[in-house]
Amino acid sequence: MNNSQIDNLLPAVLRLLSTHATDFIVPGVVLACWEIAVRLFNIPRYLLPPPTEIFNLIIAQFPLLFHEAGITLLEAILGFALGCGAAFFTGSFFGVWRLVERAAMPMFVALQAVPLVAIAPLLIIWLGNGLGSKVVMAALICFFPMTINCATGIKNTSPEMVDLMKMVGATPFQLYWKARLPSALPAIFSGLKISASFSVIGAIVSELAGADKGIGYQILSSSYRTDTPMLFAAVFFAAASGIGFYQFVCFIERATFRKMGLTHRE
Amino acid sequence: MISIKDLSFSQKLRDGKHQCIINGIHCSVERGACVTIIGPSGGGKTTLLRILAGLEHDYEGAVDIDGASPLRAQEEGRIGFVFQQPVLFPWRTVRENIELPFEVKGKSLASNVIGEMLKITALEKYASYHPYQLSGGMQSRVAIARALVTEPDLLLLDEPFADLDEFNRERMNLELQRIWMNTGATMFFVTHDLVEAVFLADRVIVLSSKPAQIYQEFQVNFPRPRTPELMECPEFDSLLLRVRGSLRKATKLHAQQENCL
Ligand SMILES: Nc1ncnc2c1ncn2[C@@H]1O[C@H](COP(=O)(O)OP(=O)(O)OP(=O)(O)O)[C@@H](O)[C@H]1O
Ligand SMILES: [Mg+2]
Repeated sequence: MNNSQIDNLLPAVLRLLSTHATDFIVPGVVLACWEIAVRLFNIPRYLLPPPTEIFNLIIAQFPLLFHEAGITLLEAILGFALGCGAAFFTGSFFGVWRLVERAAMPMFVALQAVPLVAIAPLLIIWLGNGLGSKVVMAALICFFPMTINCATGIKNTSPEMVDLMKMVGATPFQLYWKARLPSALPAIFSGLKISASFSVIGAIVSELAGADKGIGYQILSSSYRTDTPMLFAAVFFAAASGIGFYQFVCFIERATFRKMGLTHRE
Repeated sequence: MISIKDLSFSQKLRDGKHQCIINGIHCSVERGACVTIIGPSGGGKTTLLRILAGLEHDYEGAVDIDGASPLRAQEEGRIGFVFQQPVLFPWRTVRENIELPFEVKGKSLASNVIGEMLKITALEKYASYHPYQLSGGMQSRVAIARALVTEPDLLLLDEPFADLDEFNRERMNLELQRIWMNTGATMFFVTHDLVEAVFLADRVIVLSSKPAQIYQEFQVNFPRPRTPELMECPEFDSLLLRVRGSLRKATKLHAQQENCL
């Protein structure tokens, strides 16, 4: 990067900082208090390291942590695709056929309340501690909320729209494809957003239950070494992965609604 | 020819009771006629149209649409229905909304058909707009265009011009008359506007309030095509007055019934 680029970059960064200045006030104050408290009360660093030390470690260990977070994110994305893909079909099924919905939906709502992460060790026994168990865990944890969201969205298509499709002689598939699915999109996207953060949680929990790589593995192994700064750094990357994936889905959502000519109203 | 014999309909309420909405409607309408239906609000006009459209099935009596059941006629795409609400697809532009019936049937359409329809409904400039960018009246015009574009044998219109101003309504009435005369469709037109009801009709049916029965019928024999000047002639006015009186009595009847209960 040469000087002129830096010259351009600096005002841009400053502008960004100034427009989002309020966003930084609360975290800034919290971090400052943390730093001061740790130094003032001489808290041992294996209990609570000061933020500056964590920050330095993040910089120093960036390549390693970035790589490990990438592995976790890959597991999460594969699980997300698998879980949401399957849920899309079951959800559509439930949404279109009242009878199927009435028979199966209560079970799904009940299952959604089960803390699925509890079966992570079981998945490790069944599938080993490689990629498979992580992907399946992430997929499972996405599956139920996504199914329920998708089914609700499809089912709640306005009855007038359904009547209209009947009047123009639409086939059941056309009714689904041209009316039900597009009207369900907001519900489907809120399911996808929930699933995006859930899938990262699922992958990490599964890594905690047994893995030899990934951000969950880093969290676990640094806790065994009582390497608290490293543990904090790993947690930071875990959080960043979750937020990043969530924001990506939000971006896709906005782009889709814009392309469909719908203004995105929150 | 559309024949309705002893049509009754009751709606099941949540508490398991039945509420009678239509109680013995009997009429037959020759092919290509325009029937306008007026009656007190909540009387069952929309319900009647929905039965004719094949959207309600649990009626008693017989309904025959050119030799087929309403459901058959619906499935064959012979019925055009303009609902009381516009029911537009928000993710489709005006043009795409009007094209929907063709798209669904997989028919290719002559390129000028949609253009023609946009012109009639004065929506040319808005062809690429999305519904949320339109006013209420414009939305209802899109809904009308969508129902007319396939030239159905039976047209059911449920207060289609309720959201238009007086003169746009007059213009749409003239356009509707023109299209209807060209296609030879049979038309059922529900409205609360008596001038419109008399202007368009071969026959005005006054429904009583719930449960709906035919309270009175009026034949309207003014020559066609009718023009706005017709509304200024005394024969029109006297008929209008009679229709008005009839509707008032039909509504009063309702008030008395309510008081008795
Ligand atoms: N889904 C329903 N469940 C129960 N009752 C209904 C239902 N739909 C309509 N009704 C009842 O049927 C009656 C007739 O309704 P309808 O919509 O046909 O009236 P309308 O004559 O079209 O009135 P308006 O002029 O206000 O549009 C109403 O009194 C209403 O209470
Ligand atoms: Mg109505």
